[in-house]
Amino acid sequence: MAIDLHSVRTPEQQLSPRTTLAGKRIVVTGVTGFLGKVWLSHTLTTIPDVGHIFVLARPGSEGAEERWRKIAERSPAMRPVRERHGAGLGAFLADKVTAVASDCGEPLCGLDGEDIAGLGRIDMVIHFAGLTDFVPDPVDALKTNVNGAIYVADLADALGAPMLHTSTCFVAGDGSRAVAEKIVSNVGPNGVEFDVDTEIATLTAICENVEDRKERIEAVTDQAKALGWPNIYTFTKALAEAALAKRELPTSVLRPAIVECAQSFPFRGWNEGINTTGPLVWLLKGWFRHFPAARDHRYDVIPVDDVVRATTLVTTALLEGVAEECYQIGTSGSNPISFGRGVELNNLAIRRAMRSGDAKKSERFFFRFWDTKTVGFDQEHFMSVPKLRKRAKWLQRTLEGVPVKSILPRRLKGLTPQIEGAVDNMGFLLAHTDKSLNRLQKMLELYRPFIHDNDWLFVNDHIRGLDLALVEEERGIFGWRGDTIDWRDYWLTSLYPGLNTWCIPLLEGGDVPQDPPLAQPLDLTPKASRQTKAVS
Amino acid sequence: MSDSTDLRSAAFFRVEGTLVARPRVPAAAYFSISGQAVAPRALRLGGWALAAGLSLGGPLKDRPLATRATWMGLRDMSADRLACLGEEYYEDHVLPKLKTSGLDLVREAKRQGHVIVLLSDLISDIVAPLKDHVGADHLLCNHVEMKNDRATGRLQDPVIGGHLSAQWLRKWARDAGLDLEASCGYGAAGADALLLSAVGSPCAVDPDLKLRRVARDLDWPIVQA
Repeated sequence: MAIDLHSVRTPEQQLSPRTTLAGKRIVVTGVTGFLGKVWLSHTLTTIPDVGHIFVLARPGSEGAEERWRKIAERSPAMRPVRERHGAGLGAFLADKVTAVASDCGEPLCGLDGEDIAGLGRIDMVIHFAGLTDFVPDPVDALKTNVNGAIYVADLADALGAPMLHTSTCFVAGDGSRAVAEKIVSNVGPNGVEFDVDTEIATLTAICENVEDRKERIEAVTDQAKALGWPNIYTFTKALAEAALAKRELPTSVLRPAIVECAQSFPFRGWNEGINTTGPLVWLLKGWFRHFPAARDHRYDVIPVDDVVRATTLVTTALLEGVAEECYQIGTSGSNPISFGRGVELNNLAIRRAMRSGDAKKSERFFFRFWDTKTVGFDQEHFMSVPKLRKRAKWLQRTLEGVPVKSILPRRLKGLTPQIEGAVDNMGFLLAHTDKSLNRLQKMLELYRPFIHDNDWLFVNDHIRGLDLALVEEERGIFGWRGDTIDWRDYWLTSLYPGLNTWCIPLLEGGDVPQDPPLAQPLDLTPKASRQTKAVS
Repeated sequence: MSDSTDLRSAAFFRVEGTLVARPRVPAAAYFSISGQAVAPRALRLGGWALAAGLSLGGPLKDRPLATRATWMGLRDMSADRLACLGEEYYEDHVLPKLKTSGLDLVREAKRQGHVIVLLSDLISDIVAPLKDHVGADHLLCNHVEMKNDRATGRLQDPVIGGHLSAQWLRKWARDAGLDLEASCGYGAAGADALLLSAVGSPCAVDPDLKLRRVARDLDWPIVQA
């Protein structure tokens, strides 16, 4: 579908996030996550005049304040704030940010009337918190993705503030098509009508009555598929959107596509945790050569800092009363990249990393010529996972049946124990290989709707409209860059190196580096308390 | 077209042999074996070997067709791959092979106020950064024809090679405001004789046997590094 720029609806007034957000008091959830953390860091760096930000966080075992202090001190996402304020960091953060112990899965996020009154005037609520696993335990998905959104909306209602809710483009569900920026609250992607309250009640009943986790997952997956959603993640996110659409509260829904490594903020390549592309890149980095994906389908990737810019733009529009109900933050509509190109860029990125990295000469030579290519999911070929499994099993069975002792010539009889040991080891290795291939097959099945079955074009007119209304002097900070991403440059210099540093070590069972601790522990005591301390 | 009174003098440098020593791995072969799929790699390499054989001593010698045939193996290669392989080849096989004597000649030509023109039969994906590296004003090299971000296997016209026609060069120089009579040229191979004979002050740099013979016959200076 061609997108006509002239159809973009642009607010008549100009937008200046710095002016609008100055002095504003904002409640935000999900700051311990990837997106929330980068938004907070970006806001504190680019809008230092923001009034105050209340970070709602689960206390965990250390308390919400301690969790926030650790993020502020050690998270690479906070580097720009730390660099900007140096020794004055503690005082700045104490003045601008307060961590509030809460739980989005509880009514009113677990805050009582006193807590809510203590927040004072609140101008905006931004809800980032969410569960992004494709197949989570439905109990967790219900609590975080569905009830979490509803309870945060209740809190926004109680505070009299508009709400920005973060969802995902993939609430579109199954079916290749152009997806409009519109919340559909009563029809599933397959055209079957539904009532959101009934669906939430069914989901809740399954969570309450089915004790076995695996059975719960199966039941809710069936419920999702009956309406056209491929998995629990997209289903629960869609239910949350539908539930919010029924309310009177001024709300905008932000739907990012696949959020990946930063283009520039907090620095090039930054990523956190295991996101969508990480496992795929990890697969392509190894011996895996035939990648089951639709070569020409769009792969909608958006750098995290572009989602953050969009979040601030939409927040501004909400505060100015000119926001749309939904914003899709993706690139498939205006600057698409296909899976085929993504896979090839990945090959080229690996090749480049092998040249400049610490790889052995043999590895460099091997991977230079070991390019992956896309194949159909059900295409039979020599290296397809089912075939590899079949061969591993056959070899295992064959080895098990080998009567080593009886087939060895008399001269080699003395070596029987060693050869039997080697055969046993081989059998163990093959069993392990079969298990790994099984896991791989399951993982690819989970990804299948996103990399093979569906080709979505997520229309992104609304954010482009806001971008056109942005004052020129703030375009460099908050402007929409999705249409001009140079994918080759992004893949080679941001995405692959970023995933290689911040994500793939986690997939390999390792760890990723935190920033070194500050010379002095961060003192986040509010200014008033500091003065009292000094006097006493 | 420029007025003849405005014409400037230039120094034409053939990149291969003059500025950069011949690499061990020919560029087209390097690209051919670095394709994405395995089977086409063999075909491309075979095609390149055939073209190389024909151009060395066969009927295609020094003809545009030989240059075209050499690069035909790029067919269906993506723009991403061409750019990445070009960057690799430049870093591994061009930069380390830069000749000090050639760079000295460029510096001297600049000092004398000449416009610096580089000529190369390599493709732009490889050789484009060399222009900035040596501070040249113009780079005449080959460009791969692309369709939907994939190489068609053809080179865009004009094909730059040893066979570069003096007529084309004269037209190009006129359009660029350069006076060939007042210009100097540096070449290293027999095929560069056409280029050198078009300029007022030709010079052979580390010439091969054929160019050495021509240079002696025509009394051109020879620079031996």
